[in-house]
Amino acid sequence: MSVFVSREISENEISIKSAFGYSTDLVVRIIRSGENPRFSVLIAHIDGLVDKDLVARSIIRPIGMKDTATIEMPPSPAYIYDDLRNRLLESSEVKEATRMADVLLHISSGDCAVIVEGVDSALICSVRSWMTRTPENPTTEPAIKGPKEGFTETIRVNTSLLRRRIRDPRLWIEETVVGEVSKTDIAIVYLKGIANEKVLQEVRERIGRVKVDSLQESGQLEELIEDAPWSLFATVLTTERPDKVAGSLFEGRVAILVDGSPTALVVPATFLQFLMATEDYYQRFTASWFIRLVRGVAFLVALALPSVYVAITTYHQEMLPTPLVLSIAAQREGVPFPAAIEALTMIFFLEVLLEGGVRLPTAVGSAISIVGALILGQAAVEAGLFSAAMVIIVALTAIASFTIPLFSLSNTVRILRIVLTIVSGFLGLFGVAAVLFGLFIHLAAMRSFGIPYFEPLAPVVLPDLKDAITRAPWWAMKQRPELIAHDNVVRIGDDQKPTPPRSPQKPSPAGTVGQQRSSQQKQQKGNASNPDEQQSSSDQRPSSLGPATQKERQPRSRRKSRR
Amino acid sequence: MNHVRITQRQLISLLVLVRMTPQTLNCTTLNIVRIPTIGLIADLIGTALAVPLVYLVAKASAGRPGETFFARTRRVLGKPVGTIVCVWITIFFLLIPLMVLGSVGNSFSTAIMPDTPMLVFVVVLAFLAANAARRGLEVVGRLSEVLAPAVVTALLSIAVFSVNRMDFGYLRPIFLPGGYGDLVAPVSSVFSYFTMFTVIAMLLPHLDSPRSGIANSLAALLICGALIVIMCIAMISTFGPTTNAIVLHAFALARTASIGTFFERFEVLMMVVWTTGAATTAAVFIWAAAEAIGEAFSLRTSAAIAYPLGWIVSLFSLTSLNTTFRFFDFSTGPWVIFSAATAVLVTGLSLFIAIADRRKETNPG
Repeated sequence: MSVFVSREISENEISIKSAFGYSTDLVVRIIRSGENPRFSVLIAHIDGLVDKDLVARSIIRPIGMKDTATIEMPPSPAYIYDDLRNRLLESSEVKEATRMADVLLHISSGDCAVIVEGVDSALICSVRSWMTRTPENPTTEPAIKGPKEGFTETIRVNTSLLRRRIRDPRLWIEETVVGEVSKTDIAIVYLKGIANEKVLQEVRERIGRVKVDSLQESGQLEELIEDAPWSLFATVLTTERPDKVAGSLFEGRVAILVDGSPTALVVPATFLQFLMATEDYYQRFTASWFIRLVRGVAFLVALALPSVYVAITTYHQEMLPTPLVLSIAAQREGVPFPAAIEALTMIFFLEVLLEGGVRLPTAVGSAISIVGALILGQAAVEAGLFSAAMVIIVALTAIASFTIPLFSLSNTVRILRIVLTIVSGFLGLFGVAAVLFGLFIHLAAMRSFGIPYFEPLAPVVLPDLKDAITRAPWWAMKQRPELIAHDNVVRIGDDQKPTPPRSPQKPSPAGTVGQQRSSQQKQQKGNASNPDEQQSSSDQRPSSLGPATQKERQPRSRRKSRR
Repeated sequence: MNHVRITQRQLISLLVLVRMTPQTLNCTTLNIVRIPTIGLIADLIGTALAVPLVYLVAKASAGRPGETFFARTRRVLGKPVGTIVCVWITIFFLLIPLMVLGSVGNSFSTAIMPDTPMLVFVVVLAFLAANAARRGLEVVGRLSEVLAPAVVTALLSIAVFSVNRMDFGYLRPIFLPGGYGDLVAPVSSVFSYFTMFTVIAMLLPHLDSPRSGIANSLAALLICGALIVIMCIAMISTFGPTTNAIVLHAFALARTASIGTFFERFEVLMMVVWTTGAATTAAVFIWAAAEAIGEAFSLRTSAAIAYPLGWIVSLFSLTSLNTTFRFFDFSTGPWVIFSAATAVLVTGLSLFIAIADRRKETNPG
């Protein structure tokens, strides 16, 4: 195969066909057109990756219509090539390529190559079109309130979903190709001026270092660029939700999209992000505050409840109230295993049920869950193999683990739960505390793309605590995460807290009339100088309040200062 | 010296944590007084005596940011003398984790899990502490920033929720049956625990703003003093004349604490405080000792010796403090003398170095 595009069209034909191993989906067609002289054009594309109608309409037809006889002077091949490039080809995007490897790459990517005989350069027309999935509600991250669309497997659809949410030219997308053979498109998406430049540079460097033959899914890239490859905790956030990615971009994070994967990667990631659901930001903060707190407790329950139960029933019975101790002792009477073995066996069965439920079709999966949870559990208790209390504990643990919004953290919790249960069987609560402390050290030492992983808890970043274990109201979250977007942290202006209209007051005594007049003048001046501010302050009013008076429209701080 | 930086809040947290952790384990001061209320006076006097120590050490350490106490000692006194001082203070730094780990091991194996050997508790905690120390001051600072408020909250809640068992009448009369001599031993004991604050000589050069470290070190000292007094009042009011016969005071107090009749198990809090607080305290001093050894022997990195130091600490802890009596004898005898001598040494050297530096600055020739 020649390195460059040849002037001989037959040589190019052989090069392209041999490079693809004479694959049956490769379409190579030579069109001879024009009169006096006739000229030959090679068209090559992959069947199934291009829009055939578009190829016919925007490439073949213009070539066929080109009539060289009408031109007084016999045109050279270069003239025909330029004319095709500048005037005739109706594709929205036409590029040029001189290296045969580039031509082959474009053909593989779904473009159509047009090579004119006698010219050592090819025209690449963008006619990509293949079967794509329409954006659907992401199954792994469902939300009751909020958008119901998720990413698809097509990178261009995914970037368009982000563009629709951020209609600003500062949304920058850098594309690169990873995979020596797969040539997978990767898009680095960020908001210029908000994203942390150091993080961005680190992302570019890490992706640039990746040398693999194939990249089929963003999960593969995640493993190749993450900070702590041996850790149980993921340091890259994965999501299928465009709204979540858009929100992360506004926090100064960087998103990575991989062609062929509906899952975007978001960096830097912090531990608490894995406990946050998207709809936390769409519900009123009171509900979000409560739900996040419940989720935090559920996380601890999912992680440590079986181990604490084992520790207390095995080593620290004195910690339980006497009636409860007696009740548990009565249930455990006849159970042939120690509490730790009982718990581990139950947890193992739970894992088997979960895995079985995932692999089986939905209808059968739910049936298996019912059989496993209800029938087997009850039968095991009645047979005296397990105590009823242990079944309750493991069931509670399972339910609590479903509250964790992201699957990656859920998997981590599943593993740690087993470790904690084993340790608690040997060392009681001391073992549980020691393992949790060890985890804490590990989390406090970890970083994600240079940002402390356990931020804002360790190190404590007070402003960021507004959106951590619980969430403050939107109007109070004035800053982006401080360590992530430290160059541009302000995201919400002052006086965003909505206030009800004040009841009209009676005119004050004569002495204050002058003050009122001067304040009205000031206000008019302010309105004239900054009409946007006036507009925005009126926009913030709840619509149900009706039209606002001039006085009501003033921001609260101005009202205060006047008082 | 590597250029790890900790914040002012982390400095306060570190100091509060290292001082309050022994308080949650064994309040030995209350065991060596004839009348419990003397312990209260000793707490106040011991805290007051620690103020000049902390001020002088902090002032001397903040004077030259980027240079630790050891580096300055070696520069001013010469390498041989400086190395001897380094070794002395390194031993002092290693005695603290030794004592804390021994104390936790003792507490767990006597009060909570008598069937489990002390070895298990000490080795596990030493490993965790060395692991944290190896990861550097930044990580230890972050740990303490989260744990210190938890420890303070735990102690205060124990004091508050045992209030229905308290009789403040036990706090009077305060008198000294043996004269002022009765105060010497308990005051020395309280003061000896405050000598842990000499670690600020190692911490302040790593502070984001060393100058503010002086005020914040004193603030940490006063917070600790206030907490110790509150805990002492709670213990004396709850246990009365039997206070000095109890070994694990805070644990015993936790057992009396309750919220109504539905939450009565505050001792779980104490166990968590013991485990995490002791490991973090040990981590701070293992880190400090590793740094000191690194400077004394001009090592390129001191992190590598954190694990060996952890093993040494656990070995000595297991062999020398393996019973409650041995621990008690050590913490009221050799520890008090050695720590007091270290306090005098560090304060004296800090002053000497500061004066020498000033003279050199005013008269460079």
